[in-house]
Parts: sequence; C-alpha cells; structure tokens
Amino acid sequence: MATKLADIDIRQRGKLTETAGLSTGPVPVAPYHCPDFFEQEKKQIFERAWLLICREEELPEPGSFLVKEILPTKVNALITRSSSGHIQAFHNTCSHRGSQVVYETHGRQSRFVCPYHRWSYKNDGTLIGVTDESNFFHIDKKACGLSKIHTEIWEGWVFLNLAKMPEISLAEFLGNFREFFEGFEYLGAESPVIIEAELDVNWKVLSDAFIESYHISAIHPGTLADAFTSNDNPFGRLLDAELFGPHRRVSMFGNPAYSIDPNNRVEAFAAGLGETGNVISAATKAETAKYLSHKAVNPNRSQSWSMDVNHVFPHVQIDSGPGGFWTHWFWPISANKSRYEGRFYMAKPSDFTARFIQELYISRLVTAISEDITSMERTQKGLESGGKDFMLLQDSEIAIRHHIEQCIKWVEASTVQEALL
Amino acid sequence: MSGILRDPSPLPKGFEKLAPFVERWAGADTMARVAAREESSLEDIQAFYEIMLEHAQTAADLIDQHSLHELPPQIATLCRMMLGLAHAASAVEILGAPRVPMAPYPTGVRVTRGAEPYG
Repeated sequence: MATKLADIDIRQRGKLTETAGLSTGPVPVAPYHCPDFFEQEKKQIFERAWLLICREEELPEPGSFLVKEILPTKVNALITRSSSGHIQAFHNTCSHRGSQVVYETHGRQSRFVCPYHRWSYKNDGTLIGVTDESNFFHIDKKACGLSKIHTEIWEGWVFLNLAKMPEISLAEFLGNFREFFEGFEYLGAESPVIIEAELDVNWKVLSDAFIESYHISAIHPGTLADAFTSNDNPFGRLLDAELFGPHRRVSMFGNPAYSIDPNNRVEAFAAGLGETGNVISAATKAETAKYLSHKAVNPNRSQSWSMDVNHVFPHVQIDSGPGGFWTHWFWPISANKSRYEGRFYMAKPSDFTARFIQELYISRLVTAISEDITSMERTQKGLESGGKDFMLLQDSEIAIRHHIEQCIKWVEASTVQEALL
Repeated sequence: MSGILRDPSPLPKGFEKLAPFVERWAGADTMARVAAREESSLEDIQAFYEIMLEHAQTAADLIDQHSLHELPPQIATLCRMMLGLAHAASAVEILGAPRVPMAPYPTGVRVTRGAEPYG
C-alpha cells in the first residue's frame, strides 16, 4: 500500500516522516563515500533492480538503435527497435571474441557488423554472417546471436534488468507507483533538451539535491527562491510526500504570490510575448491543461504547488511542473563520481516566441544546475573527510531518508522479494 | 580567400547598432551563448543587454514574419542574438555576475542537445 500523508501546517513541525513510518533519527553517512558499500550497491541494487534507461521516443522508428553504458556496471547495452517495432536490449558484445559490435551511440540501421572480424547481426540480435565460416570447427549460428538483456516497456519507459533471471517482474517492482502514474501525459517527449555533467559526488548526493527544496532559499536566491518559497513558507517545506515501496513522490511548495520582478526586463519581455506555466517550464498553458488534470500531477490539487518529484528507484527522477515533465538520471561511476543527465522535454517551437521562452528557460537551468554543483561537491568532500558519522535530516527531507533506507535495505537483503517487504 | 567577401552587413537594416556584438553574441548554439555569458565582463554583458533589449520587440516582430526553421541569413543572425539576450539576462537579472558565484570554472555543465533551431 502506498502511504498517503497529510498536508503540511507550516506553523509546526511536519509529520510526513512519522506518518510514513520512517525513523526520525540520525542517518549514517558511510553509504555516501565508502567504496565497499558502493560495490554492494552495484551488485545488490543495480544488478537486481529494474533500471529505467530511456523513453521509447528515443527509438522512433524500426531500425533505430541506442547504445547506453549502464553505470555503475560494465554493461554496454545495445537497444534496438526491430522491423516489427519490438524494442529489445542486447549486450553489445560479439559472439566471436567479445569485441563491442557497435561503436556509435545511436542511429538507424537494420544490421550491425562487428568491426573486428566482420561478423554481422540483425537488429533482432540474430547472427547472420560469419566471415570465413568454413574455417571454424562448428558454429550453431542460431545459438550465437547477441545476448539479450531482459527488457520491459511501461508507459513508454524502457526498463532493463541485468540479472540472468530477474527475481521479480517489472510490474511487481513498480508496485503501486504503477497505478498512481498510469496515463501520465508525456508532453514533448520526442524533443528533450539534454544537460549533462560529470561530478565528483556519490550518486545519492546528486539525487538528494534534486528531491528537497530546503536548500533553495540558500543556493538559488536569484534563480528559483522567489518561486519556491514565500514569507509564510520561507524554507520551502514540502506540501506532501507519498511512498510506494522503494519509490517515492514529493510535492513541492510554490509561491502563489510569485510574479515577475519588473526589474527583470528580459523575463518581463518574454512574459509579454506569451504565457508559460511558471518559472521552470517552457510550454504554454493551452498545451498543458490536459496534462495537469492527471491525478499524479499536483496530487493534492494545492494552490501553492510548484512541482512533484517522482523518484523511480534507484536512479531516476521524473518531475512534473505546471509546464510539463522533465527527468534527472543519476549514473554512479564510483563511490565519489557520478554522471548527471537532465532531460527537459519541450515541444518543438513553431514560432520565435516559443523558441525565445525556451532559451530563457534553458539559460535558467544551466545556471541553477551550476549553482547546485558547488554545494554537492563540497558535501562529498565533507562526508569523505570522516568528520561526521551521521547526518541529520528534517521532515521535508523525508525522500532522502527513504532513499538511503531503501539502499541499505537492498544491499542487506538476500533476495529482491525481501528488499521489497 | 580572395573572391569571397564577408557579408558587410550581417544584420537586417535598422539593427546597425548591434553590429559590435555580433561576433560574441550570435553564437551558433546554446553552449556558445553560455560561453559568451561566462567569458564576458559584466559591463560588456550589460552593454549588450541594454542595446539588444532596446531592439527586442522590433526584432521579435521581424523574426516572426518568417518561418522559424527557415530564416534568411541576416534574420537568423538577429534571432541568434535574441537567444543570446536570454543568457545575458541570467547574468544581469539573476546572478549579478557573468558566472555563478562560488561554482568552479569551467562548471562542466554541458547542454548536449538544445532546442531547435540554433540549439
């Protein structure tokens, strides 16, 4: 069962954490920097959980393919859409002597030729050609296709499971989050703006930063604070939180009195050209009416709402705001290194006004993400120093607490069933 | 190269005052515009911001007379400069500085796919 939590009363301490049945004590910091814990996460989480990899719009037509590094593992996944439209992932490893077959990151072709000795494969994984085949001893070509990786699609999201035999289905893994999010409208899914960075931080330091609004007044005074805080809620306490097994959702406060500072003349000029949902969006109100009616978007129907963060365990957040959705991917590299990929989905602009508003939004994103980097990398340094064994989390940091608890639970659980209990 | 003259007027008529800013602010893509903000002094950004803003409405009206994805060269330059204005605004209106205070430089944040056109 999803835990449904009450709205906040900002005059007293929030009760989200206690209502959800989580502990309220200090949280250990070793999982944020200890290399042994990182190795355990790789094995117990990333090699057992269903991993959200991409949207099917990234494979728009038969023959489309993508190659993705599935960090922190060494799996290099070749994901194809075959002539029948079926999406399937394979290990990008030649059956001959193990070379990577496809070097490109994406493209469109129905067959792949390994550059090393020119063995060839169809995009459904079948081995179709072996050069100088008569000099081999015996090759059962039917048994020597590219090795499949378990692949499932849910609502346009492509999930992979790296286990030889997944312990649970994707449906079981998603649990109640599946019903909660079904039917969500993915505005602009075919045309994301992509922002990437490699950071000297643990992947959880990165994901934590994008699921709490407590830091906004301190770190983003110019870019975001006016929209996410108010005199009544100066530290951007959460509106609500909901837990779904290992997944979670938080809804953030938005300042209902937010208006554009007339001294911000370019922002005011853009607002005069066309209407957007709010400061972190790039679509017009007409485009977003249907999307906004979905039950998972501003689930409390609050007048003081800015955005929701839906954290799909372990490493992806799907966010919804008044103007549409966007995603954050947190790819672990090592205990203190991660790759960030943000995808901000926007409709292709049809006129200059839309394009200009998008650029203003993109510039704002680049500066806001740059603002986050400093505090994240300094956090990692502080955690690694050994100066503290525990960190203290407040009620609005419930999602951080839940995530770290889940990571520890998965690391300790001998089966996935046990991790989900 | 001989025989090929650089266009003496890369901007449409009426926008001559913007000429000194073309080289820096009419960048081809998002990262060129981010670099223009990060590598200019606040004074230079402010100067571009003021003159571009003065022409912003006329520029928007002129660009809107064409199909966004098939702009003639001079209008395209003007369009890219307007997109540059979005980044200048972050420095002038939001940061009060060319770069994010306290962030490392370069930040390592890369827009690997922008919005079209000129992303």
